[in-house]
Amino acid sequence: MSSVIKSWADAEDEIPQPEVTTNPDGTKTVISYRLNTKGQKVKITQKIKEVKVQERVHPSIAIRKNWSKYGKEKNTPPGPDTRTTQLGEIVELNLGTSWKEVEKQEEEAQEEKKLQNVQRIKCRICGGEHFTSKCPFKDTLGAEAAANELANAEAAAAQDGGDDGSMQNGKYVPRHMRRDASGNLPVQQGRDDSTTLRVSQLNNIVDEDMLRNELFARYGPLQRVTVVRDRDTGDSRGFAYVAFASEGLAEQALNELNGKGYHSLILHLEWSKKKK
Amino acid sequence: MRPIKLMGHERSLTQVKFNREGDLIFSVAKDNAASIWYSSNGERLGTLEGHRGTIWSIAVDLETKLCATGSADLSIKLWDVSTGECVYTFDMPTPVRRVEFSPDNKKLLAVTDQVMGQIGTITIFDINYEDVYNQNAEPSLVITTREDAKKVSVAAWTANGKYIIAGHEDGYISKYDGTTGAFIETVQAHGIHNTETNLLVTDIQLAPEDQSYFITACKDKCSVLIDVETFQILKVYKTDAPMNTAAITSKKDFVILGGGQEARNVTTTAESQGKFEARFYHKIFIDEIGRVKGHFGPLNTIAAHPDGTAYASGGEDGYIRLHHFDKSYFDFEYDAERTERAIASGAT
Amino acid sequence: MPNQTEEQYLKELEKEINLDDVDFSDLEAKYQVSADFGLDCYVVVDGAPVAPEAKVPILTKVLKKLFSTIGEVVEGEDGVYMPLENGMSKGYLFVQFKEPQMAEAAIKQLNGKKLDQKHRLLVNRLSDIEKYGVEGNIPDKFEEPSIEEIRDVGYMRSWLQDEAGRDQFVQHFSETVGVYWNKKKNEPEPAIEPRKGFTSTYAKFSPKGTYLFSVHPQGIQSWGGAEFLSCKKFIHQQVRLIDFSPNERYMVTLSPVPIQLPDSPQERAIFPFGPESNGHKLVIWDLITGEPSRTFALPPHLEGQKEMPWPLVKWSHDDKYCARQGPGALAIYDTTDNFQLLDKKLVKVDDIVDFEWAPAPVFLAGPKKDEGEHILSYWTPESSNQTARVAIMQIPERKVIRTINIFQVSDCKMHWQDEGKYLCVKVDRHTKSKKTFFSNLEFFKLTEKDIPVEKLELKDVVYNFAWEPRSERFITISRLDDGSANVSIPKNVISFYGPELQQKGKSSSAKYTCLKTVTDKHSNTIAWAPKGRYAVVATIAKNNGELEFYDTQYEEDKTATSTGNVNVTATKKNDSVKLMKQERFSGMTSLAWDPSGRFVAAWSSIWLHTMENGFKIYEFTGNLVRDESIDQFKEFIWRPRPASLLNAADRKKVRKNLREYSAQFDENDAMEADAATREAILLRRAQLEEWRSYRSKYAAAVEEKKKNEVQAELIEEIKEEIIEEKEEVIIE
Repeated sequence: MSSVIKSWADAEDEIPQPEVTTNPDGTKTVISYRLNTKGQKVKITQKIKEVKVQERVHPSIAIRKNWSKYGKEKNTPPGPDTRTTQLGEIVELNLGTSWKEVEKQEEEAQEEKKLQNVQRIKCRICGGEHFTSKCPFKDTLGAEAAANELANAEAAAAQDGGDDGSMQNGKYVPRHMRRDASGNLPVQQGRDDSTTLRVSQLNNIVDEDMLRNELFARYGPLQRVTVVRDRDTGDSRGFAYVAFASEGLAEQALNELNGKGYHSLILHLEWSKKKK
Repeated sequence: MRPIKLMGHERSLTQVKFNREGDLIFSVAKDNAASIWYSSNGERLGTLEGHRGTIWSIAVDLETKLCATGSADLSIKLWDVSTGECVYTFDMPTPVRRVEFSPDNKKLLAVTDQVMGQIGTITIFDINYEDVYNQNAEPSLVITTREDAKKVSVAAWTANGKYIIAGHEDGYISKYDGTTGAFIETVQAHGIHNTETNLLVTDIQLAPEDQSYFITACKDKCSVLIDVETFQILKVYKTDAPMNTAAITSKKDFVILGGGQEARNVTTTAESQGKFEARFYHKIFIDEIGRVKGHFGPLNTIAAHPDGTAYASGGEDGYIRLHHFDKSYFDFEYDAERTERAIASGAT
Repeated sequence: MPNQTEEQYLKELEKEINLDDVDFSDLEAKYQVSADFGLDCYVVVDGAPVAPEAKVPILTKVLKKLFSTIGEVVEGEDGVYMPLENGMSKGYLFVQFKEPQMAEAAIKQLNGKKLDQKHRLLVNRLSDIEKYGVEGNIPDKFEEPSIEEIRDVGYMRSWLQDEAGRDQFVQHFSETVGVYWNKKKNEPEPAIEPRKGFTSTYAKFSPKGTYLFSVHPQGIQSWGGAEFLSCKKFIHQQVRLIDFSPNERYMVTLSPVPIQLPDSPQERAIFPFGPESNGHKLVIWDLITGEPSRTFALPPHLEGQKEMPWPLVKWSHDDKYCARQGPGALAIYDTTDNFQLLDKKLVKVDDIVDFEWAPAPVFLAGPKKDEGEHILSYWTPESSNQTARVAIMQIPERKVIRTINIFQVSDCKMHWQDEGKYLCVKVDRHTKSKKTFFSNLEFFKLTEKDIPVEKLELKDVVYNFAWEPRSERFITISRLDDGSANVSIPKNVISFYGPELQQKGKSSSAKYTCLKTVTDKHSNTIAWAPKGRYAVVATIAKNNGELEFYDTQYEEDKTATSTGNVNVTATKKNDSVKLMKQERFSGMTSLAWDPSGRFVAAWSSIWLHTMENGFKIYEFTGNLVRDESIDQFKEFIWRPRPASLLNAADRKKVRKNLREYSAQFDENDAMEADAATREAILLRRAQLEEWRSYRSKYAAAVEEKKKNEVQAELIEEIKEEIIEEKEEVIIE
């Protein structure tokens, strides 16, 4: 899927791309993620059915419905494609002059409801609501139970690819190392970073436009320019990622600008991914 | 209301539009391809490939036969909507900010940017609707920015192509004769409701029912409703953020405004994510009556379905969100409206 | 000589033109003739002592010395000439300077100079004496001076006559200042048309709400009456800080720019300050006359200081005395004696750090008096051979009536209870290693015999302390100083204290005990309702604003209302403190109770940041009644009220009839709300009608368009439908 989330530099470790699987009964399962208001990640599992609907419309619309697709959609089957078209979360539109209060109340009620659906922590030794390491029966029920559990967990992980994958064997597994829905370890695909430079020691006043239009204008057109910013204040953290059209251009920029001064600071440029 | 997310663009949206029947949505963004979508289910009909720069504007004729795109790559392209084929390219001296077909499909107006030493214009081309591959590359009319006015940022045709309405970067709105290009009058629509200094007019959309009045959007955090003939300001809608777009809905007497602080000026905490909102105002009572959340950046463009059953918003975040209204939306009424309806039904 | 003709000409002119209005300086300069006589070097000095001949030489010497400080006085008798009559000097003399500029300077600087207690010198130029002394120059006939007409600004307390007893407040946003009536849920009603460019910095009310002040580069302007008309101008260039005496009789202003007398005599005539004020920065004004009462130079240790302690002048409760603190001394002035230093001498207090007046007359134990005493407290830090000390002093007797010695002190804060019955001194102490800090609270019970002092020793450092008005209870916010400075962990403790339950027959002095504590908070602000009982404890921090509304007599109210005895000071139950409501307001920069204690306003000012600028008004219970976000909102100011005129009996009557009053108010509220709704509906109907009539002229076109619409047709399409959805939070 190609979509621009607010900043591609930190998008990766915030919200994973949605996964779509086709079920034998013709329905689709879409797993997507979002952050809730507390900054926790929420996994949304949607089961989607395609339905045929009949409608009475203007004749010209009927004709247009039968047009064949073109451009990037050429040869895609009829019906919405999940890569470009997805159903969003339900949003509320409470009309009225006092919409502000109504909205606030509903928001609170919703968050509360969601909290109830939250999976609680479960101890692997006694099943209580605490972390396994904090279990009061750790010593009495002993290592045996833990070992059993561990084995079970491993088996389960092997079987279904480890539930949500984040807590395999109770250990943290970085996202890019996790198994995907079909149980395979992901191959590093994603973005091609071979043309991306990391630019550091940037003055805080420098923004994307300045990089695009001033500093790297000569090496343009640029694929992407992202200044890494503080999540709370929006201030620049003094470094940026710049993706060039080609590796050659990137190299040229690296050679020519590394160590040069820009807005009172000496620039430092390097490949965003180490060359192999 | 469950929105449909349309994710075909890789950069910020610049304009979304419905065709006359409202079954198709046309969208352009700062990437190089326009997208066309079915509005009922969000399925993409196709993309229009060929531009080499930001596409600022897209227009579709009344018959949904031709579509025009104006781009920063110094060109306007005409496309066959049914095949996605580019049928003609007009070369332009400066980037094109707006394109719009005249209501009789015979003309196309283009707002050209005032850069690179060129004076901004509203350029009008005659469109050969029969033989679309054969167009006159020379404009039939060029309205250059008057000496006493600031650059034109947006423009639109009124009913039957009678007038051209232009929005300037200093908050003024001008009216020109649609045939001769003669200047008729101008009115200061923005910069008089508050003390804001950025007065760039960002959008002009005409009333869906008969194009006899229109709404503006402006960076001065206001939108105004203006009558085409009298050029009087009818209503003013005040918000708390710079506005990028405004649309008038049919069926209900609402207007939808979109905008927001530039992303880099906003502190982005987890809490504020997805909180960029489309704002609904009552067209007649000018009260703000609701908001729809969902975008991760300012709203750049909003289009209302001609039947008033849906609206689409395009954001700086690169997404289009298409909303089909619920029953509650149509049920909402002000006391005064209810009374009016009661009286009307009692009388008949 | 052209003199004759000119004089005639002038006389002619005088008939037509009011000479005071005309600036003759250019003509005077042009036709300056007196210079030919050299009179410009002379000044006439009146008001000198009348001395016997024998003393004249010494007097001459003194005066010559004085005038020599300004410029060189001509040697010999020509320099200072004091005429004699009957062996006595005549009380005036002539002084000749070397240069006319020196004479000019002497007039400017020494006119009005006090030679001693009895003699004030009047210095004038000799040419003026010539000018006005010559017969005919001054008309013989008395002409009524035109007295500036008194501008009637209306009744200064008109806002107190509001039938619904509403309070006023100021909204300051962008460049605009407006005064509004609080209408609870409804939009505030402007009391006057909001004024753009009203003040160059901030607006301020006097302590009892009579005047509203605006600050300008030239000085302060006061406004009053129902229409807020201009009252008085207080010329003080570049004034920065202003403060008032508690009864709003006097105003104190401070400017970083020293007062400088204007050069031209015309300007000097309308300049409010005399030569003795030259170079001063601090001014005390009489608010009624609009004239300066006294001016001071800034104490040398404060010159060039970036942050100015303010107020620099502190007032006794009745405006009778005011005091300034200098190095090692207090200067106390008697306002009823022309702001003279009390007993003409300073109160020496070595190393004094801070002082506070009791905010009310203090009734000390002993023979009963009709009027309470003026009391102030001060403290001095530890020095090599002395402990730190807190002292209570009686004024004007300057008698220290109580001291306590304390040690290992890093700081002290003195908190007077509003009735002047108690003084709490918050003593921040350090351990011997000076690594960690903790607080003691020392309570002086002023009304008891010998002023007993109770000590409350705490493990925490107390950051905030606030007495409940007219009560013996208080709230503290404290935190255990464990050496770690991570402010993001909420570990502030809110504690509610009150005197321990009293038992019959015991001594009246009760110990303070903690009624309730709330731990792990970020709270940093305490605001008691002006009439007590309710308090807001708030967190005002970047990105983290919270208000908690407490009722401190919750249980009592349930049990005690039947007896009608609401004014209980001692608490009966420990669970009487109840959190009523918690509200978030993340952009909040300040909060304030209205003077009646019914509402709390909290606001977010652009002076501090640009997040969520605007204000919110809460009921005392914490219910949000109004939420306005306003661009560039600067400040919200409740208009203070003077003390109530009701006596105890009146108040009791009101309390007794509370039920009837409240029913009446409820009805008023409903009517008000209805009126507002009704108005809104009417307005909307009018708007709708207007719109429909506007649209009617286009009706035909719309009809036409509808005709062209085509018949619909049936199609089939594929849509997605969500049949199942679940959400779960992932815990990593």
